[in-house]
Amino acid sequence: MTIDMHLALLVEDDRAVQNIVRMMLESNGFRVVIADSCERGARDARSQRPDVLIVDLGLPDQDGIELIKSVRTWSPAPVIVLSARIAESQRLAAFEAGADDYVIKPFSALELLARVRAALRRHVRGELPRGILELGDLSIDLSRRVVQRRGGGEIRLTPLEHRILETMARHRDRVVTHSQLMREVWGPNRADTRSLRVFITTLRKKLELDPARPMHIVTELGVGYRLVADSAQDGLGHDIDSSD
Amino acid sequence: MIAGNSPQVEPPIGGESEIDGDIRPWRTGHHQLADHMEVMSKQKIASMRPTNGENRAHARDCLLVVLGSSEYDLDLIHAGKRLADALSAVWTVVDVETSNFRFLPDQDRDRRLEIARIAESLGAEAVTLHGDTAATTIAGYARLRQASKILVGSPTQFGWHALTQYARGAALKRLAPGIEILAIAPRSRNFRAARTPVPTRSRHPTAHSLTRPHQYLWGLGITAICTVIAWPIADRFDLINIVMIYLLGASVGGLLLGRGPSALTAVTNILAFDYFFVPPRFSLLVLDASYIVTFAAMLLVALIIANLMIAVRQQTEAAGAREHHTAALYVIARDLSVARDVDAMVATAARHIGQILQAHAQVLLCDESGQIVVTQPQPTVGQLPEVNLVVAQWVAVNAERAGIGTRQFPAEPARYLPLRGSRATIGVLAVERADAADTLPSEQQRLLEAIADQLALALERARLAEVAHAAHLLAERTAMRNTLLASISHDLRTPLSAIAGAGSIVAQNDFSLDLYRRVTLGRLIEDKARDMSDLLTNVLELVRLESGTDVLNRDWHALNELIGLAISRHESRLTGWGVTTDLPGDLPLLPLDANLMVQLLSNLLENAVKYTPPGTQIRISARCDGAVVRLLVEDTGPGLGIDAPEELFEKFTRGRVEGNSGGVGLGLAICRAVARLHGGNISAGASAAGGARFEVTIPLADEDSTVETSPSLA
Repeated sequence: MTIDMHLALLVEDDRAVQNIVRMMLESNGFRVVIADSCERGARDARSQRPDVLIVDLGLPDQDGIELIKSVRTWSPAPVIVLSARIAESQRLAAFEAGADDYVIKPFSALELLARVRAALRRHVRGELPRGILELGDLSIDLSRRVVQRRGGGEIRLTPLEHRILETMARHRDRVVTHSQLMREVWGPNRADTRSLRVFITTLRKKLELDPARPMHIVTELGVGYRLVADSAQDGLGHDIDSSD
Repeated sequence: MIAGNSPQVEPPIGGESEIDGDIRPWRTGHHQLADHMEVMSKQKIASMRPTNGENRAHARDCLLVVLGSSEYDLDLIHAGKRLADALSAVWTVVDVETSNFRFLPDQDRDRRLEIARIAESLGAEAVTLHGDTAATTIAGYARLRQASKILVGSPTQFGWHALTQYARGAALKRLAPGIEILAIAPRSRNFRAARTPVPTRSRHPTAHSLTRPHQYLWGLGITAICTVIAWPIADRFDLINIVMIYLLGASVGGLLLGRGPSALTAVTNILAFDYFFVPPRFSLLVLDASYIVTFAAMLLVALIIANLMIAVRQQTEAAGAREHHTAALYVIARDLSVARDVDAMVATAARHIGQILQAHAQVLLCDESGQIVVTQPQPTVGQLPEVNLVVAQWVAVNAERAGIGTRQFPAEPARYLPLRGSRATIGVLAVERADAADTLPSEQQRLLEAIADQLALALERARLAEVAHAAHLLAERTAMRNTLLASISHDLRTPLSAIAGAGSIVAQNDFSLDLYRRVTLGRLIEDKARDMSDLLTNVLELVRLESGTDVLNRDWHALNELIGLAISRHESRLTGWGVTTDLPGDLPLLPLDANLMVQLLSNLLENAVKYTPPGTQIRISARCDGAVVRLLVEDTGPGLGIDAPEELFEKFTRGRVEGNSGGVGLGLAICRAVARLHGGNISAGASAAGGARFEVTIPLADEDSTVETSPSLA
């Protein structure tokens, strides 16, 4: 850790939620700045340069999505949406605006904390070391298109499977929406979720220990997929998974 | 309002009596009628329809107004209206259609139809009776309706017409004893004008009203044939047999030819008989004077036979035409009665009109405020008439016909008929003949109006059914909402009181809570809040699902992926329960709404956790079975403990009603809604191990649903 304390900006207009999130973050070593509107959020984001943003969508002056879009134009800092909106389309809109994660209210404090830490960890990580992706006991050499199981044999990927995996690896630990994935793998005009699902299924069969309960290629229902890399490799030391 | 398309300037007409010109051109009379219509149409809606309805409710006096000659009919109708109002009686305008009716000039028939329409607009019931003679038909109808008074016109001038009217009045008195016969004289003589110069221009001659020249030739031909037949036998037989041959010829003429040619045959027969057979032969001279009597008798008998034959034929034809009319209406009525909704009715009517009248028809419906609603074009035969919406709206507002062949907007290529409902105009029927120059003969006009009436009735019925259905739905929805609210408010209050209680304890400084207790209370608060959130999600989801349309957001999904998601969503709650899955690797992708499917699976898992003790095994399996995928969720718990498992899927039904197991009983109702929205179903039963077993069936997509993994991936 290079900085003593992470700075979190919470954009939220409800007093109770403000207090809870502040309490939770401060007792876990964060500094917290609170803004109660989009306008203030944008101003504080520019002046305080937070390491992570937690944004409510239903804000009094503007939709939080607008704030996310404007922040994304100049800052790569992770943005976590904290909202009571549960519809798929709304989640999709948030991810497409550039959100890193989406926590639905009512939320558990532990879960939010875990997501915040995961987001920071990803942000810090940067490039893949030597183009090799580690997924559990799998080590995937993206440049050579070879998957090696630790203590086991090689697994071969087809070119398309490889491209899907590579795309998800580039955005690893973040949600890749269906349309983004299809665009990057097949090109702009050939959207077909059906074949995408088939490829994901075969990828899971090759890579997951239990394809029915995938640990690495995780479905974000109605939004897309997230490649969850093994977190033990990186420097933060906290092994936090969204499931705990 | 457009009074007509005639270029001639009309004198202002204030009423029948103001103009004393003795002869007016026929057209003027027609226009006067139009003015009547205008005045009356204003009274119509206010005065007549309500009284009409009322009158039928009680047994009241019945008054028959017999239309006779067009001269007095308007006066008669006015008199009838005044009398009916004074007596508060039901009044019926009777028009008798004898077999001669079909051979009247078209204008005359149009006028009679028009007058019947005016009468209807004044609140009368207009009926057309068919019969041999006016008097017997009217008398029969009067007895049927138990009429107390009959109004007839009284002639004001002497002539053939007056004579027939007197004769009819007398006959009526004789045939309908006990019924008052009132003869009404017209208020003015102006209406003479309407009749005098009847132009014999017949717009649509029926086949027999016009006797074509070749029929006369046929008449002469019959005489020739008779002569040829009689010639060889004339020497051997008595002349009286020759007379018979000619009479036979005359009757054949009556059977086949019109009145004129038949008469010609009768005359030429006598001439031929005289010339060829009566001594001295080959001369028109008659020596024996007694032959004059023979000739006279021959002529008379021939004419009578011919007339009878013609009358029979006309009646047959009239009956045939009526039958055709009735059959057409019957078919339409039958088709309309099986039409399921307004659209189908409209299409049916348009189709029939297209077939019967060789016309394009379109129906424009009105909304509640009487505004024409322009909808998508309906399927019709051929192209649609070009509908002038302004005219259609005028028709809808005034509930009167317009367009070609009427007085309103006669320049329009189409004909517009109002579809009159019991309270308001339901819509407008626009009909355009394929050949724009071709106007409709009056039978077809009447048929069209009858169709319009049928359609209006059918549409009104459909609308009432819709309203009733909507009311029923509303009542059902209200009942459901009340149950829902009652149930939810109870199920929200319970966890709320726990949360409030726990919160107040934690907030109290006095209670020195140890760490363990504080954690317990915190957990309690979190769990209860989560329950409430789940409940709310379920309620909202159910409301959304039951709202019906367009709720599915389908995409291709692998069932095992969704099962995995559902399990991981309940990971924390499922600790203590063993969950196993048994999913074949070759399950095809299914077109599913992933969110709803995960919700369904979550609800089933949650149920298992709620109603079975920890340690219970939960097994999720799926397999393809013909055209469906069967998804099973079984457990080894105590089972459902309910006789009729189907009831579990009703709203607000819980299995064992014991203690506070949380939930409103919406979970399985949602499961069923989701399964059914996907075209499948859900059922409950006992598992092999004695526990509960839920089976969800989801149909495979029709054609290329099974996506094979492409060879390159295998």
